[in-house]
Amino acid sequence: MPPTPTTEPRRAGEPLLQVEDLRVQIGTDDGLISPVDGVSFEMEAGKTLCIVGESGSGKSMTGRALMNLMPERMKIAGGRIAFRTAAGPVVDIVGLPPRGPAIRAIRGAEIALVSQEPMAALSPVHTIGQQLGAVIRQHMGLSRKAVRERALECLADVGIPKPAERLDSYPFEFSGGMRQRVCIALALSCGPRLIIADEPTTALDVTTQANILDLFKKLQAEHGLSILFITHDLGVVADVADQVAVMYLGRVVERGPVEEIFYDPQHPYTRALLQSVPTLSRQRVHRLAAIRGMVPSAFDRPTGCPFHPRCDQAVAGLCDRRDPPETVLGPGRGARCVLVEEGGAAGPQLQPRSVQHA
Amino acid sequence: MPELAPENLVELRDLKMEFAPRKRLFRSGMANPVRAVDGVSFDIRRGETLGLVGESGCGKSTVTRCILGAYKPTGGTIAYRDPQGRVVDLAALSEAQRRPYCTDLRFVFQDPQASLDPRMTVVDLVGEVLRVNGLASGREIPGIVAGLMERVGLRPEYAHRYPHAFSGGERQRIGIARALATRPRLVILDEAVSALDVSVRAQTLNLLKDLQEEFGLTYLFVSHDLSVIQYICDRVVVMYVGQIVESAPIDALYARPRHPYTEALLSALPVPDPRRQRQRRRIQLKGEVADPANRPSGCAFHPRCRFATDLCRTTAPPLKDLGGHAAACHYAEELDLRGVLSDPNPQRAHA
Repeated sequence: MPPTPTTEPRRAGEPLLQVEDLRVQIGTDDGLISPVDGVSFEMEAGKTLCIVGESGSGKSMTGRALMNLMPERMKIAGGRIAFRTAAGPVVDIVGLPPRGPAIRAIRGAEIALVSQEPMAALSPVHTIGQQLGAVIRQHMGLSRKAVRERALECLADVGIPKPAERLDSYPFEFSGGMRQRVCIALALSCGPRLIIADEPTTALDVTTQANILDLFKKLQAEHGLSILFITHDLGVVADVADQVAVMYLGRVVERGPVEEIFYDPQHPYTRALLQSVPTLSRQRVHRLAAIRGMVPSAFDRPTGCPFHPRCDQAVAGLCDRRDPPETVLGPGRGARCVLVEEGGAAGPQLQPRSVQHA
Repeated sequence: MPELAPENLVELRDLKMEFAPRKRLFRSGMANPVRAVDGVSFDIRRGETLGLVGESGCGKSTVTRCILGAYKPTGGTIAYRDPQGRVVDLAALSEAQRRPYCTDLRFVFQDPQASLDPRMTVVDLVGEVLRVNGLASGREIPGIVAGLMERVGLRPEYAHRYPHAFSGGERQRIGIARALATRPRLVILDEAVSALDVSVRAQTLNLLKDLQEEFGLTYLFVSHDLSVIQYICDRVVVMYVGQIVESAPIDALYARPRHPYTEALLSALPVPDPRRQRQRRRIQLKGEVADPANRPSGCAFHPRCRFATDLCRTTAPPLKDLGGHAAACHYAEELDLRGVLSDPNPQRAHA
């Protein structure tokens, strides 16, 4: 293992990660449910992909599946996760035994997780230095002194003031924003190439959130990190994303470059989602365009397109029967909707919405 | 009893809530008392939606709990005009004396999961307040509850279900129905939509607007989410470490804030529009939110403020009225701070 993380530039556009038809199943007392039901997307190295969706869309489960980190009673039931390792070869993470050495060499060292609640992610009874040290020793096999140096370097990297003093502090001695920085330092400690950030700023105040988002951008620029950013906040997506994947009931319903998703959304769900958030325009909207109904439970999946019961453009007899595959609209751009599939046959309905705040 | 301006329903004057110091663990002596709310004055006008915004620990929830009587304020007055036109100081009343006003002032909590008793059905949850206050007889309750459920968009057939049978958005509607049951005059919504998903949040905000029109309600809308505040509120009060830093009509505050803290808050708010968002300049605040037990001298915001001078370090600025727009900053008139609203003629997206 190299003593310092690899930071050599990578060729742009080379896919780091390809997910194809990923399925996750949970065995419950009431039967099997599929919170992730055929998810496909790809990620370029050094870029940020935002997975956006409401609760129950399967976005967090997708993130966990990428590390093959499944809680009890939950398993990856199918699909492929092709990850290009630092050494070069592409491995299929789905095929690795979840407790085997191969996946352990990837978790933490190549793919790291930053979760929503830093207090839950950190051990309350170990110092920051001990927690960082454990990860660094595990993956990098350094001497005691070198471990401490590396830990210091990580804390300084994420902007924790006086890192040498803070190394011996416990998590409760930090504020929420600083704790999240510690978690990011932990994730970065072994020089991973992909960070899965699962709602990392949701529990934070808005000014702290802004600082953490800036930190992610800085780290990405310095280390060439790829970031899979899971969020429900469209403002955060607009701020950090290069690519966006919109999820609904365990599917990616639309994906594409961030500007195309915001300014030229194709799937009715994406459009409805964008219209249901206040946009801070000078002319205040009198009413938000809400999506009717709610996300159905995973036990009660609608037939056909999962969004059709809430969709204003659903075609009776078509959308409730046919579950459309993804229509490819360009490189990395696609949508799963019969209206898109028919190439605009539905006429003016399919015109992209005019931008609200204009 | 204090006079109340005719348009006001509630007037808070110099409200203080100090929590007694606790003994320190492992250390001798007492900690400083926590001044969670320290001299807060604002008006709630009849029929308006007043936003109360600030980061965690700024004292916004403490203010609402003082108004409701969950905390007994350690100072100041809360003047309230009752339906008969009499003015009472809620802060001075004993618990028993407050009883008649409990039906006028109602609360919707952030987390419907936690605020609804899992062992009560909807008809009991919503009807309890009617029964306890003697507003309806046992036989009338199911009919009234059914009407309320319908009004907030729940199917009356579900009146005998338990909270677990509903989704998060529906539970929040139960909470709203419960708040409305007594025909209140002021509804305090403490982060009432923060836990909801985007699509459900929009529905709930629209519902709140409709109910306000229909029943002539006054809302105190507490939130940390500035984009929701802008959508639903008429005026807004910004708090920082137990004090008001700025209060203004919504459009004025978002177009041109007068306090550097408000400017920083607005600049940190991510706008759901990638081109606009990436052109914006973010103001990085140094350090952390001050500790209300250990407030900095002078202006509490000065250690993080990019305009701070020696005056700010020594003298606390009063809340100055600048013509309907008040700010607690020595330099409120001079500073040209940046708002968040998009330009009238933004670069149009391709379509």
